[in-house]
Amino acid sequence: MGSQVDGRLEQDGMISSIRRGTIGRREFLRVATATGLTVAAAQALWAKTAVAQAPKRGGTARVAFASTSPTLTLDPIKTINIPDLTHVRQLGQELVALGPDLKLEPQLATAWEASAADGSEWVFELRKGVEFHNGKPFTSADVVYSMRRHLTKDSESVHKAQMAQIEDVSADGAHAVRFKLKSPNFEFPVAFTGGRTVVIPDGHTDFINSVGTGALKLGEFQPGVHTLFVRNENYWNAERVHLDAIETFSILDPTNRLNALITGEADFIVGVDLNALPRLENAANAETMFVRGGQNVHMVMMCDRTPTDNYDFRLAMKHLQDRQRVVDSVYKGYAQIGNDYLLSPSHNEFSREIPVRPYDVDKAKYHLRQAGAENPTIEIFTSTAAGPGGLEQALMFQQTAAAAGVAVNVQQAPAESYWSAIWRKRPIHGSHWNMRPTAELQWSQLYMSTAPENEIEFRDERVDRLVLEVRAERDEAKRMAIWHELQLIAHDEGGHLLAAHPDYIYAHAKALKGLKPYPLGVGTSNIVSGEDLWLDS
Amino acid sequence: MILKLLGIRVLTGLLTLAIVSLLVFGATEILPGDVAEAVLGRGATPEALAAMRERLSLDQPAYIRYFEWLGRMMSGDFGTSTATGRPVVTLVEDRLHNTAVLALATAVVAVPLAFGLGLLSAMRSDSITDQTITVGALVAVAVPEFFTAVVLIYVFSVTLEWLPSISMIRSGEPILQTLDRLVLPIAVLTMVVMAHTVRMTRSTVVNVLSSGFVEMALLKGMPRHRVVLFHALPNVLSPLFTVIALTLAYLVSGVVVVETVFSYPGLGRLMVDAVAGRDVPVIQACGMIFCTAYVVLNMTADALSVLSNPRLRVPK
Repeated sequence: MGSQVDGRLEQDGMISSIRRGTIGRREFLRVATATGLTVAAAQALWAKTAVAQAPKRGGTARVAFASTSPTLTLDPIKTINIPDLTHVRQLGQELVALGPDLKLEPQLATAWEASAADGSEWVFELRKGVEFHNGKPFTSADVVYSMRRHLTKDSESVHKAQMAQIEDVSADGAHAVRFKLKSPNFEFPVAFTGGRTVVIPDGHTDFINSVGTGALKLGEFQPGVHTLFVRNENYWNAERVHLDAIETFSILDPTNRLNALITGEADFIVGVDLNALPRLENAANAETMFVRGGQNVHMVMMCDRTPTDNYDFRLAMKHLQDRQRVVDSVYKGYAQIGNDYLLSPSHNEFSREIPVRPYDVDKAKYHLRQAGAENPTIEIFTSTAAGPGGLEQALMFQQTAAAAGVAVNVQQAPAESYWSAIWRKRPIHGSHWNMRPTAELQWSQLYMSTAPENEIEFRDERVDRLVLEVRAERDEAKRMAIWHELQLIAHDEGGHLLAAHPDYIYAHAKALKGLKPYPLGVGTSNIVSGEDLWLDS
Repeated sequence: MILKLLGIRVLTGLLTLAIVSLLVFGATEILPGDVAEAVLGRGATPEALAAMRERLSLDQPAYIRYFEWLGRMMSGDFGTSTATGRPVVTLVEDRLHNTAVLALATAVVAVPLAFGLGLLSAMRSDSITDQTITVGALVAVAVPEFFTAVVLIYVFSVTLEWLPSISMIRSGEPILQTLDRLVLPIAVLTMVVMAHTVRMTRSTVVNVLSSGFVEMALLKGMPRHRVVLFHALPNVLSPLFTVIALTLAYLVSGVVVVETVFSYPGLGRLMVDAVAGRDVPVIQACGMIFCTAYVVLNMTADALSVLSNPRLRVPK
């Protein structure tokens, strides 16, 4: 079907129009969907063809972020916010990376495999002939140094919990590294994709004049003003770098950020409000970029305190959110429907066999009776900090829950102190997570008993056992079966009320080409890390 | 006599600064959350927090940290920014320069303009010109800065495409190259600070114009503009110095909103970012700089009005 439509579009001269740049993305999508292609397929076709245009060399792309990072650091192990995470990805690379399809791609490692049959020991072959920006050749010593920084007892690494599975890391000659794990894990390599394991030279401590192996090297680093990265002429993958430089800065106000794009003072902006979309529709030189992914904006129902410690009470609440309405009204359709656990249809492990929970007042009433809590009054704490649309979701819930006799007080808490004062403290509150690329990461971070961010306080030995099982399982089909079971537990018994996975919304100058819709979004993926981007004059 | 008076003013100024240092330190103490929490964010584990607090010696009692801080500041050492690991002085240097440029440029535009309008207003008092100027100035000061900024950006950047909508200044850029980026911030600030000077000039001049010696001059047959320029005006200069000094003081500390809206890398924006990141040494340094500028400019205003007004030279 796909190739048939491709053929028809080719006949219509559409494909060549894209290559010549005589047709815009929006027009293309309109025609393509009219010929019967799904929107997703049309977007993929657009991306494929538009990238195929011959890139022009030169120019500086200017990226405007929505926040300044409080850390403003180029030290990979301390990066938390989007600007920092983007910067370390521009400067350097990890052993592997996730592509737009969330599959592992080689970066500084060219090959990797479990050297022990049970997946408890791994060997990564390193790329040869790579140089750091200061001219030092890249070897296994650099990898060992970069990894050990996460493992020391007093390490300030934000990636410490995930790296804790490593028993020991050692060089295996100059161009291979061996990892010994505490327990088997066939998904281990994905630990090296979050940006925090970007490799720095052995012994490197100067993060003000930092160096890496990346497509770009540091030109000027003025925290809070701007950062300039210039092309690394010695880059090992130089044919994919077309820009002379990337400049990044922050514009806190959303209207001004959009103005800067429209007036041509920025080429890519992070964080676009839904109500700004009409302005972008009319802009001659800019367009919107929707990235469909696994972003989570949801409500937490803490399972260790009343009233949400009751299984029936939680189920009642889950039946009282009208998911389709959240997607349609809060997100104007730019979201995927959620099913009460933190895994989205964009994940490769997502189970399509669990039906989406409907809005069902009768069922909710039944479960409330079971819980012995008819006509309850509940408080939902939320904030503008709790993700895009979080407050609106709570207000919508207030309306739809009233039908079952549930009185909802929505409490809006100050954004500055939300994560320290409200999160994981109130029985029901809003929360927000960016996408993690795999189910294994979601579960070890959020669902296992030992998970550091188990915000729902749901601890169950079945979950722990199944996750350990899936890590040690090599067979793909068996793994998927276990993941299905884990999703079912979270969907049914867990404490997340998750109605939607909103798309990431960015906007960019039409002249900026080569952007790829990595589902992980800016910061946690390579959307603006320097490769493939180019400017059309 | 004059020296003694000025000496007292300087001493009061120093005392004020000492009190301010206590307030600034106290305020940063009661900010909810510390830098460790802000930097580590949601991912903060108890061990990581403890490790970071120990490294930054946040585990010391407050009064010890206060005197250490005060001592270091006296010797010109503002410490190291906890968030970026750089000396606070280097962070502040460029920003202070940018804020000073913006404040001075605004003063250069706003003061003569306001003075001229005030004079015009006074000479045509109660005419339609006078009323337009008065109402216009009051409206300009009453509308919030961010609103004025958004309207100006919409008109001059987005619609007419004459001027840039953000005013990012990279360090080391020559000022002349950045002039187009300064126009809108200066326009907004001018509108905010003008009203005070306009009203002040107008009322003083009107006052002087109704006094005996002006009437005498007019009766002698002197042309009106000569009377205003050479007889009335010298009497207005003394309060004007005060107004200029106060305007500058307002500008140095009051540019926070404008700097944020235009992404202008000044001291105000630095302080806003530092508060978000709980970067205490930077907040403290910015706070002290703002207060010092305010105190010094106020003292200058005082001194100037003392020097230019014989009646104040003799204490009662």
